[in-house]
Amino acid sequence: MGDSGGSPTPSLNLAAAVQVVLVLLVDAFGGWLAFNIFQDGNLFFALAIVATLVLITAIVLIPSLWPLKWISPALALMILLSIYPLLYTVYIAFTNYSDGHRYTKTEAIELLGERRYLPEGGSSYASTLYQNADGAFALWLINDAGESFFATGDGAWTAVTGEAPADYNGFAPLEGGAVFRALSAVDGVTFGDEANGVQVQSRNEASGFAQQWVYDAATDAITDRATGTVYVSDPVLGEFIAANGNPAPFGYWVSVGFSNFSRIIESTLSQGPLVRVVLWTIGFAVFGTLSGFALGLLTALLLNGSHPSLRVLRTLLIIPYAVPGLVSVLVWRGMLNSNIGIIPEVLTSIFGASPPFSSDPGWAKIAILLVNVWFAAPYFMLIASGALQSVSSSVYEAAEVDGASAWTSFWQITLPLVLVALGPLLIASVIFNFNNFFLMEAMFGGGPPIAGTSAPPVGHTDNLISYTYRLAFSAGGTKDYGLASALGVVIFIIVGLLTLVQFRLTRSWEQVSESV
Amino acid sequence: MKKRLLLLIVVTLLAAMLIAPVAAQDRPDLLIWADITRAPALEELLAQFSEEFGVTAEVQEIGFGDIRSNLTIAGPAGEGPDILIGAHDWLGEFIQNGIIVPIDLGDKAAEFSPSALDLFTVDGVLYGMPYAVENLAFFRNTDLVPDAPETWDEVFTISQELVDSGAAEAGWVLPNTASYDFYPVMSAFGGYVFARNEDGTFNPGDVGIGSDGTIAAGEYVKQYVDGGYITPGIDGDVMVTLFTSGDAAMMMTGPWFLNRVRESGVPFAISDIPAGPAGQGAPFIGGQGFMISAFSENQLLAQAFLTDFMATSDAMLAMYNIDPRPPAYLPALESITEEAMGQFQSAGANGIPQPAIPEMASVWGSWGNALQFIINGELEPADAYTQAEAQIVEAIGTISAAPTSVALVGTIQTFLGCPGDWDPACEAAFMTDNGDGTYSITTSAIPAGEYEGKIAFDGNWDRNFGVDGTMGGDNYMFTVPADGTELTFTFNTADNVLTIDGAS
Repeated sequence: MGDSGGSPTPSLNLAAAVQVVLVLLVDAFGGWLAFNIFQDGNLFFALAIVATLVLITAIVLIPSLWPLKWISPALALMILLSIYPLLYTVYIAFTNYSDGHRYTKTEAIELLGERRYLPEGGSSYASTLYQNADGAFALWLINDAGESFFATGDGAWTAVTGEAPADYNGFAPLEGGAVFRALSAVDGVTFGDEANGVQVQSRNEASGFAQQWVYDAATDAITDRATGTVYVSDPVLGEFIAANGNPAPFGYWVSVGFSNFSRIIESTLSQGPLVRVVLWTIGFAVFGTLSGFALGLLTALLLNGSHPSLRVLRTLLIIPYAVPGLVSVLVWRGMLNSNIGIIPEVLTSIFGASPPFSSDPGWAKIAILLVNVWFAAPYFMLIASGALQSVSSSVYEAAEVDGASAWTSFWQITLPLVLVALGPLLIASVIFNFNNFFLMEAMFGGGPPIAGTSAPPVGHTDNLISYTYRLAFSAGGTKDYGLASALGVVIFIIVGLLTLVQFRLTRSWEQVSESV
Repeated sequence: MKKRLLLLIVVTLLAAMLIAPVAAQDRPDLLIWADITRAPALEELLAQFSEEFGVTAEVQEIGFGDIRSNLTIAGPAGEGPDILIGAHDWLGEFIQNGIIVPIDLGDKAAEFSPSALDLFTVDGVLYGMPYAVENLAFFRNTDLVPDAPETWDEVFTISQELVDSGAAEAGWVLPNTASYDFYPVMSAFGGYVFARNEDGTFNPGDVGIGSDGTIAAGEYVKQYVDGGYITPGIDGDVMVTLFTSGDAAMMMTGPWFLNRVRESGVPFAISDIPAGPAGQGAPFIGGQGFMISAFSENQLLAQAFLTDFMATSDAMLAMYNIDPRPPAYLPALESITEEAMGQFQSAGANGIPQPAIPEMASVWGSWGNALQFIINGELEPADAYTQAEAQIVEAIGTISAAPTSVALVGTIQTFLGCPGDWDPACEAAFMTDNGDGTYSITTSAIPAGEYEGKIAFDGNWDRNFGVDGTMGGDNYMFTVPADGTELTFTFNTADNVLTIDGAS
């Protein structure tokens, strides 16, 4: 196989053979990995790996797909790191994955199975750790009654007398640091015979601990042997429930259908404030972008020229864009603070009073829009400058000859041509501001709270994404990934619709540029 | 040929990327996660430990909040630590997800302060080894306020005098969305967050954010707002800035800001929380401690490290020297002569543990917002706190509404005429409403023997009450002495406790 014609030469055959062998190795390893992951209960990740393997193998083995080899690494990574997480999020939206339901059923049973307890009639001993020349461990045990026993790791249990000796059947006691080093090796090992099995509890204690939680696949129930309670697994709730209704310490996650989505719709319909959140999200996205664009374009027009001073000014005005966002927002928050901020101080000295930025809903929104302009304008100035260069001066000359005023030539010539280049960026900016979690959360934490809402608390400057964050991760006490994923899907649909709008608009702008 | 070579390289890289994560990593025997304030102290101690016992031990520095969130992800993946240092209020979430294991301190338990051990005990099991205990205390600028105020009314009078005379910009300040910082004031007026059961555990079924005591505390703060002595826009940072610049005369904070206050040069003194109508204000007590991950493969070694090496004066003092918080280890605490630590202890003498139950996470947001509504002047304290309580109760899922039915469930139900036991929807087991907040049912149909029972509301298990009125609590166990004994079961909705007359 190859992209040049002609009969294969021996060197080509060897290279091809090596490729096939390598691919087979990768397939074998990937298949083993996927199988193990599937065993753990993660079906989807296993499928994603299998899909990637199929892709790679197909590219190497099918001649017509050979040209795809150049993008195969990117495709593989895209499947594993972009498409799989996306689909997995959609899947999670239909489950109850949350605190208390963090594990698959297999994992939950395994985790519970690691717990140990001292059964009634189980014995505790003071112990000394011994080791022989072969590295095998043993214990010298003394119980409360003063009886001594010697237990080895391979099932021997001998009654002995007296204090722990310096040598017993080739075993010598461990001292100091050696005991510490041995602890990990003896963790979980049962010493002694079936009737008298003990496990090491600490440096000098050993007890007959046994597995506390035992799962019975036949009855699909897990038993807590310490209390004797049997917890039957409930696949609808994802819990193990006892006869009296109490659940086991934790459960597992299960599919819950559309219940997350119906919860969202219910709370949207029943909560007036949520409508406000949506309005603010859209309003900020649109006005924030437009205001930034307007100021950026204005600055670009004013500073359009090759004079050195203009270049210096343009460079200085890039600085807000270059400073890390986190730092800027915190500095602005401090400057706007009513008690120690400099802006209220200045406003008070000029006007006698200053608006309460952090506690009044309207002023909080204005503050956020102003800070956003500070961020966005340099970015738009930068790209508008570039777009302005692409407008040829002959068009302006023609317009002047026709008697157009400055305003007309701006509105009819500059703006449409700039929009052709900047249109997609504007839309992308709107979408970014739609999801602008950071600014809302860092500035006022969602802003002054809205009174009278039902849980969770909503703020006046909360947008959809910060509301999602609060709903899923801080408000309900439990982290509800299922609900958060469902909200993420809803936001994705909204953003997707906006993107469709972008395609339409871009096409119409392109038609404008073609006709100029 | 070049292109094929390139492809070979690419495929090999891909294979390597798949294999690399699985390759064995060199992991120390003991891995500890700590944040930036404690990692330096631990590094030294671990070097000592490694040398002395020949066990490789390392500390990994991770941000405080990140430890909590990363553990739940890294642990099950096998990438987590053996030991971590965290706050006691992480326990609720950790236990709910089975992420940490109990710690057995053995004899060493006697060397720790009992209240510190309480903080890390859930359902009678100890899940962490505390090393520091912290609480709020009352700070005052001694130039402006020479004597420690004894009551909150005094605090208000002093604030008024200072501001009206122009001696200071503000008297007493607190953060606008204070919840943790507001608790000492609330408790002085009789308010509470969750009611406490007899054994000291918290009852999430009884939320006190809307109680009369809390509202009274809200009215107290409203005095400041009406007089303009407290303005909106103050958060924790702003409060400390105002204090350290001499603009504010009084505040409450904990040992974490002590160094900052000292360095500012402001003459200050620490005293106990002032008292209100319900008694002296009690701060929340929080604890920092070591916890062992359930996913660790070296749990025995981790336990031994904590009980035999960390639980010593030397190790605890080494932690204290780098991060000064009042130690929970008594021998270390006694050897510290710094006055400030003693003063924090004194202020916390009547403190209550900050609730670590999972339901607590639903409280902070609404509780803090209520105070903000009062300070903004948007709501009256009564409205603000009643709304907050309604929000919290809804978030927790415990509705304070009256039950549609109160059923006596248990192993006695078949004798009452129910088709089966443990059936909350069986009408024959419904108790009668006596009209005074109690429900009762009387029966002589239960034969002699031992039985278990509890109470369930609304015909389902969402709200069921066991011993001590604990929601979802243990079953009541009782013995009927003889066939035909008349038994009266009375359930009191005031404290959700079931009393049984006629049985033992």
